[in-house]
Amino acid sequence: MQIARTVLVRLARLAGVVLIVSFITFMLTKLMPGGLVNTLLGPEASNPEARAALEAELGLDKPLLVQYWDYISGVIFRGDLGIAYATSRFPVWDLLKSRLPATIQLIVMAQVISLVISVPLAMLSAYRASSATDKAISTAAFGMISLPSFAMAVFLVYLFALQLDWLPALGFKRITGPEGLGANLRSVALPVAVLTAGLTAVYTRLLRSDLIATLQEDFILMARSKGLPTWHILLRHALRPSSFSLLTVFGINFGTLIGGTIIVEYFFSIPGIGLFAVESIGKRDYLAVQGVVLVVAVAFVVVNFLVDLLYSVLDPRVRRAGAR
Amino acid sequence: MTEVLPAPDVTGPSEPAPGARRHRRRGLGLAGWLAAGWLVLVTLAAILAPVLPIDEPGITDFAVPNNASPGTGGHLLGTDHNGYDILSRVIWGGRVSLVVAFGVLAVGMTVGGLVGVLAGYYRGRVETILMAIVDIFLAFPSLLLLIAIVAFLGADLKNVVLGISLVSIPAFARIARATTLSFAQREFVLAARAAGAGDGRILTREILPNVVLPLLAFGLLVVAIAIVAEGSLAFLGLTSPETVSWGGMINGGRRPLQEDNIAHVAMIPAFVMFLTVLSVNFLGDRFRATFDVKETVL
Amino acid sequence: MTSRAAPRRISAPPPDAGPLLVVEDFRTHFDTPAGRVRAVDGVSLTLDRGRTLGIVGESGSGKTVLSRSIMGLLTGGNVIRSGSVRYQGQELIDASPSTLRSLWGTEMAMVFQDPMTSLNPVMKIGQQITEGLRLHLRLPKAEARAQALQLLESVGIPDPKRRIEQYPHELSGGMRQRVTIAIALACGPHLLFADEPTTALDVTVQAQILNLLQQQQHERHMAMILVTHDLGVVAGRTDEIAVMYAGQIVERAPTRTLFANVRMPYTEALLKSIPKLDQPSHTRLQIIGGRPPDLINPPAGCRFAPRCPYAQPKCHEEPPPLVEAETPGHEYRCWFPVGTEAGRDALEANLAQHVPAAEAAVRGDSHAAGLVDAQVDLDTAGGS
Repeated sequence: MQIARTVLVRLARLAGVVLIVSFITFMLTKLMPGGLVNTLLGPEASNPEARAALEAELGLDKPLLVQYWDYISGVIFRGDLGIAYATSRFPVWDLLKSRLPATIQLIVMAQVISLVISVPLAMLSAYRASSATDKAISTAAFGMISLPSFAMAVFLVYLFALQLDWLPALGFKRITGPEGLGANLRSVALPVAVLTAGLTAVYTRLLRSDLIATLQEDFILMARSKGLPTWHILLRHALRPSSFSLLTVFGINFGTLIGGTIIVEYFFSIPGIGLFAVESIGKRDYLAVQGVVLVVAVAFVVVNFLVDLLYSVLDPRVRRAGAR
Repeated sequence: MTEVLPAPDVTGPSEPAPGARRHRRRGLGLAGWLAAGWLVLVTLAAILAPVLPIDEPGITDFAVPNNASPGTGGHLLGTDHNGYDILSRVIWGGRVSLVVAFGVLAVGMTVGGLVGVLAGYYRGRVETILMAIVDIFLAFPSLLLLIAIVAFLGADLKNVVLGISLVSIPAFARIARATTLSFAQREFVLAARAAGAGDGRILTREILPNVVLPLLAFGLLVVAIAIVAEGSLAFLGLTSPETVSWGGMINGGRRPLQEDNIAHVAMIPAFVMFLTVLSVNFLGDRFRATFDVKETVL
Repeated sequence: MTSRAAPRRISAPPPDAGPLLVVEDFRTHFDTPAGRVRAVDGVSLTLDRGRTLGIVGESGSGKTVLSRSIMGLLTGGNVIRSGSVRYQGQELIDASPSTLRSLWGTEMAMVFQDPMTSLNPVMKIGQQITEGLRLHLRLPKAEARAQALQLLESVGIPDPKRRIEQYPHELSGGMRQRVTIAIALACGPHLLFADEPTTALDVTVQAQILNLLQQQQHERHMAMILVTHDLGVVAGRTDEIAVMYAGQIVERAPTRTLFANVRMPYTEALLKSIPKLDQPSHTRLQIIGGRPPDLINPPAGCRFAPRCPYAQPKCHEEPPPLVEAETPGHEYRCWFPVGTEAGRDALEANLAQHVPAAEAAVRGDSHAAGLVDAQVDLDTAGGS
């Protein structure tokens, strides 16, 4: 019963955060210079009657709080995020839905691959700390972190698209499209590589640092004194207590990457959420912007929540404290 | 994730494993000097840009084709998709990065440092409120926030610097708070207070001088991120087109790269940006290792 | 680094085939930026099957380094070992890592000081016991679990079926140490190192744990090396005691002999500092003034000389060798040993010259004499 209550309280708090973020965005869109009305009316923007008529039609003449309430109640009760007037006149939700798969594919692939690479790399690096291997890995990781994603994208495209001609330099092919999975994977290979490089560098350094600290602990010495083989100690004894920082950042990145794929989507012309956000802001499509922010905020908050849950599964000490 | 500000507990290559033979590297080492040298070069070129014997950055040279390879027609690094001389644009682009760097250090470090010191010194309610605000900002995807700020306020350089500084404030605040916490417990503060010194005096005389250096060391790392952030905005085409920026140059080089198979227009600014960020990161990491801020206090 | 060959087991030699452990002129130095730390500087001892050796010393004496270094647990590029350590005739210094690993757990094991940190906090107790069983003895899961339950019972843990599924933080300090002992004994080692096994525990629990160790030792006919700073711990429980100071053994004797015929002044000082029940209340605790010496540049002569009540000029110049006393098996290092005429004369001479250490030793407290470095003597947490 205690657990249920804590969970509910947490959820309520998270919902509160989402509402606040959405409200702040809403207020900010009202401050945007230019504004939707100008964009839509074009040359007639200076005509006061046309403006008044459009504003009434869009509901922009009502008091601010009422406008917000209309919006948020529409979202909560009807799932209606409004219509993207400035771009396509399609409902925002539909637009978002169509853009989500590409972004999600990039995020999931990048995260999984980077985890698979960084864990063994960090273990090797930590076990042989200060050796040549470790120095090489650490330097490479440091270099990756210093490389902005758009710069890395340039290098990768130069190598794999121009010189070797193995992969396309831009574009996205859907899995469900005519050319199938193969074309899809080839089209996301470079964008995912760019994302993975940055993530792997961060994860490797984080895990390495925690592993080195854990390997100093007494229980590792005890495990060694039991005559256990090295790989067993690394994997079964050292990894789990060292993985908390890594998992926290990993989890949080699912949230931050949703906005963080912007650069990659823009560079490779991948029709995802990030690119959609940039386009909408540029076109002053305030409903689209609000919709994106809402989705991102919700995703972010949900992910954090799940990460917290994962903590209590992994660390029995936290489980016990939480249950009190 | 180079768009997101790094967690302050990320360490650099200079951290050795405990128990290993510790070679105390006095001075910068070869890599350090190279890094410093590159930064000096970039900075000097940027400051002296108006008087250097280079082409105007925004004038098309009609004598050579667009996207001319390096070396054609007197253009050391070639021309870009508009026929502009790349070398001069690289140098002028450095000015923007310089402005961003100093702006962030000035605004972000000052405001963030102040917030952090106050939070760390006064503790209690003040700390809780301040750090809660800071944490909310820290958690939100910073690039999105930046884009929003620039979009809402306009795309000129001043706003860009302001926006980046704003986004950097939380990181500075956390570091300042951690450092303040570790110092505020120490005896010389207690001694000052026992001697009758008021809060203001303690803050200015005892705490601040000790916080400034580690903060500056961290500031270099933030500068690296700031340069990348500005580059990202320019790359996305969200900054004003008249300002020459490395990020903007890379953006301009996209089409030659992806469609015309011409690499140098994007590669050169990408390379320059990489070297600069790497150098700043490296030096910042070295300085930080010297001051050894105990981020575990966070 | 991990060899793929099957672990080489040492076949059990016939009884009376010589001592179990022979350590000769053993040194362990650490190369640090500040210089070479001579943590263990020429230690020799032997241990027979089934016998108990107590190693006593304060922080910085090198006793923990000694036990870990004998086992071969110290890693790091800056560790330099020399001399000889032979277990059942096999040389351990420079033995390959896989050889050592085959010995650890099965032939020799260690119980560490702090059970909270020596147990993996995120692993169940049961698993920490069975992993050794499954890896070394290749027991299937069910059998390993059954043995683990038996082990838990034999170390005195009630309700082992419940405890085996628990995590370390769910047990009390004393129980955790029992678990550590169970883990160490799981594969039936012939030599057990107990490194300050009771220091981190409540006083009431200490005796229980020591009794447990003794009981297990007798049942398994196991040799044990008990490392501690507390002479009281080894008093009734060891066959032989070696006193360590500044990386060297300064006195070694069968237990009774040591307490009856102490020769080395440091040992005498240790004996004096044990609080006794028959002293009147509020008796000042006797401490040994001064600090342990710098292990990078140890003093030229006897290393204890700066703090010794009996010290004479010769002591500061020439390091005393280990010599035999009247009783066989009793060795000590001292130019003017306790209980001899030379020693008595030396003390008189020092008192006449008002040497502070001598006056303090005679008077029974060091504060008045100005030797107030009270944090020295008998160990605080932190190990040697």
